[in-house]
Amino acid sequence: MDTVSYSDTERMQIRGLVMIASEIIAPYWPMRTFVHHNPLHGLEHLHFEEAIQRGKQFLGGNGYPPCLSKRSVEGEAPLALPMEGATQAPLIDKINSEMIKWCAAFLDEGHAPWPMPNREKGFYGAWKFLAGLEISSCGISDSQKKIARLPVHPEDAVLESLAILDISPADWREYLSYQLAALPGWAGFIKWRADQDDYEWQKAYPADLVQYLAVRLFYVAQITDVGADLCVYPVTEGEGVHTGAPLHQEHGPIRLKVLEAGYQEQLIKKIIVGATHASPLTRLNAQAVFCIDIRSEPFRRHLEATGNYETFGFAGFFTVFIRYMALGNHHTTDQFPVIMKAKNVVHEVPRPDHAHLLPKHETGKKLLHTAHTLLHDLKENVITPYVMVESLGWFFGLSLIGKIVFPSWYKNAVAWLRLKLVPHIATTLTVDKPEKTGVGFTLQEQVFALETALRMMGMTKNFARLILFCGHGSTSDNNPFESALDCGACGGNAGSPNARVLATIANRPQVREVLAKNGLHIPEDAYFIAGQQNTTTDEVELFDLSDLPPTHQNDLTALNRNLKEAGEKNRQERCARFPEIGSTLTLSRAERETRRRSCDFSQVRPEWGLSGNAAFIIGRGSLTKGINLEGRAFLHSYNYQDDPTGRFLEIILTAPQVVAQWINMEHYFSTVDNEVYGSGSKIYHNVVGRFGIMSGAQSDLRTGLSRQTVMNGEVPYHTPLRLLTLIEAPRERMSEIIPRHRVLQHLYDNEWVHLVALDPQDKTFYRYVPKQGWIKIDLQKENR
Amino acid sequence: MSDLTLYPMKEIRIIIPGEQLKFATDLLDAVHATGYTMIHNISGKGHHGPHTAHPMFNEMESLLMLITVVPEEKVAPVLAGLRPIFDRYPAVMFVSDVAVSRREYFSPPDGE
Repeated sequence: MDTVSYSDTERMQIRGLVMIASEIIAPYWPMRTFVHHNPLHGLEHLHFEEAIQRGKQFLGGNGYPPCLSKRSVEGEAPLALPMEGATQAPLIDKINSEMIKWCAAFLDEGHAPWPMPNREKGFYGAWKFLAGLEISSCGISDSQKKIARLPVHPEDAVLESLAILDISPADWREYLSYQLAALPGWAGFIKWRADQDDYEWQKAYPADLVQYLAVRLFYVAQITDVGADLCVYPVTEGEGVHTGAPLHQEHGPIRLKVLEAGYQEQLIKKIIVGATHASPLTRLNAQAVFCIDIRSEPFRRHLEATGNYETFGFAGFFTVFIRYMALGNHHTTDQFPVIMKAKNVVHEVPRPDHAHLLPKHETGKKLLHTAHTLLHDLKENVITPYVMVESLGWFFGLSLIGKIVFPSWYKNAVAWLRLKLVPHIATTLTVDKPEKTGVGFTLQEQVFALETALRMMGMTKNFARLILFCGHGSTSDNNPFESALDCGACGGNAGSPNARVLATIANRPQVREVLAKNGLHIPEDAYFIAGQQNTTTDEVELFDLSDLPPTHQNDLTALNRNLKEAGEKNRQERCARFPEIGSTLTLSRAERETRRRSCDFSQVRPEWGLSGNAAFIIGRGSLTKGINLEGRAFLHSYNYQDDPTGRFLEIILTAPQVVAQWINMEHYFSTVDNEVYGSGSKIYHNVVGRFGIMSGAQSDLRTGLSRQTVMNGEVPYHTPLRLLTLIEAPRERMSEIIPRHRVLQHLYDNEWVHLVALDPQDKTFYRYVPKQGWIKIDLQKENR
Repeated sequence: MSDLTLYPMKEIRIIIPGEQLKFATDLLDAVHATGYTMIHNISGKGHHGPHTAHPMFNEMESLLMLITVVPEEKVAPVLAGLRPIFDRYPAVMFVSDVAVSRREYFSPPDGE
């Protein structure tokens, strides 16, 4: 076939079509900063049920909860079924196999010992160059000549293939969606990468979905035999990647609503009881601000039970959108939700009195890095592994025994050895912005960050002497999903840098001076400290304590004691939820158990993470004080009285709630169809390219949560429910905000999120009815 | 005295949600627009109702305006690429006649 020249207009039209066609696949972030997301995020402009149908049509995923009894319903098919009877399966497998091969080679981020050459030409260019040299492994005759004849522009290649396949222009968009949905993981990663302006790998080796489709459609056109009526996609109805819907899916919407109604009623009843709690009249021992993460709720409950404490919930990035460079690291981490961009750069630097230790610290780090690189290179080399097994095998054997038989001891020994080589250095963060530098915050930025945080969470008076900003992180070994257990509000990173920055800002006299002029008075004796809760072990580490005034030592001692006590209680509560335990352990056994899980490299479930999430509560702490919400609720502190214009509520709804909804939907879909929307069993996971995982030696990039994260054996541990957002505020305020934001209209009117208001004017709960408004919730009636 | 000749060009103003920014700038790069100006976080009222621009924590939802100046023949490709966006998102595009004194600043070399 002669090469046709296409116009710029036709090329750009294809770009636009691909962009819309890719709505069916969700962007996939690299695993090192795992971002919980809605796998059907691109379809949120549709009603939830319609989006689920589209997900079934294109991705083959089931979208509703199975029967939640302990045993499967007799005769009910398992959630994920292999494709049977789909006549095109071998062809699809062949095409997918080629695409996985090229995607894994091109997108590699330093994992491959022999990187793919010519990647600077972009995905399509590099593939064209290299595939044009190989003898086709999938049986395409004259493939070298055919590839050589392909046009220079990937858009032209797409148009050419569509012409060869004889797809009508009216069907292009749907057709391209099917092609992208064939490998939603790989396509999703390319979709994410193409959207990154400053991602080093993308800048060096550009890839986008037009290029991806140019390659894929070449294989489709060639493998499905030119001119024949045979067309890999679209699949006809009832012939999806899975066979027809299992029985439980037919009643899925009803089953889901029943489950949701049960949980919502139970939660609302709890809130009514809790709302009678009064605010403390005496000065508090301390106040502590935790992330809105569901794992904070039980810890806060236990801490408040230990004494005269007040706790708050706030998104763990603490209003500082920082790009953070840890001491000795050569790369930065983005410590804010992925829906934002970096605003400030912060470096971790040694404290002046520890600067003399820096040379030894750096030498030790370099030594460890060199040893690690050497071992990696020896392992990956073509020849050396044969010699290594004989000479160094015993070394790895010792390590293996330590990790398996004595994981806690082994972890301590390694930490001790590391400390000997790399001495600990006390550090501080570069919070202030010296003139003409791009690092730190100006005074105005510091004031904005602190004032916004305090006002948004309703912390505007009754300050205690000691106030803790507590981020969170996790610890696990041999766990590619580790960052999924870290702070989502901090972009899948541990949150201590953000807590340290805001605490430092809050202690600045100049900042307090401006805040006082703005009507927000922080008493002189109020001191802010930063901490980080380890959600795997429930230990809390505090930072920058050398700055603490001697006058506050006693306050700190008491807080430390009570944080420890809260951690003990929380460990005990959490351990009872592990299926292999299922009962209340003693405090010391619970401590040993959680520590072991945090360092056991064979542990597939170091903690339950965010599983169980179901509600997002925005309101004063008194609504939930002392109530056991079972670690299922995101809690965002908010006082409607401090927000007469509704500006802060608007921010909470359009940002923290959106992040919570992504987390909620990630868990929902990973549970209802773990094979399609989740990532299957961890047992089969293999890291690929340092950015993702595949099942076995070759598969689609697995994007969702693992089976072990959401399932307890064959039964879901995570009950798949859509998020219930419950807000304590006048409902007129929400009615004003919703029409201003498309994202909120989509979430509420398309029923991705349920909205309930606790209107303080009449102390009554109201349910938001999509596109209609509010109806009073009659709990008596709902009981019947 | 410097040359005061003015050359006709087209100014394109595109208002899109932040989530589509990268797509739009890639599109302008692909048609070899020589540059563009961005105005972040804009407010106003349109078919989708009012839109405020006070500081928010979600840049995907905030609206922004892209302004570029291109030769007339680039307008159709830009419109072709953006049309699917207009069908789905709160986005608009305005095209108007402008004149520039340094034509080479806005018109890429031949062949591009």
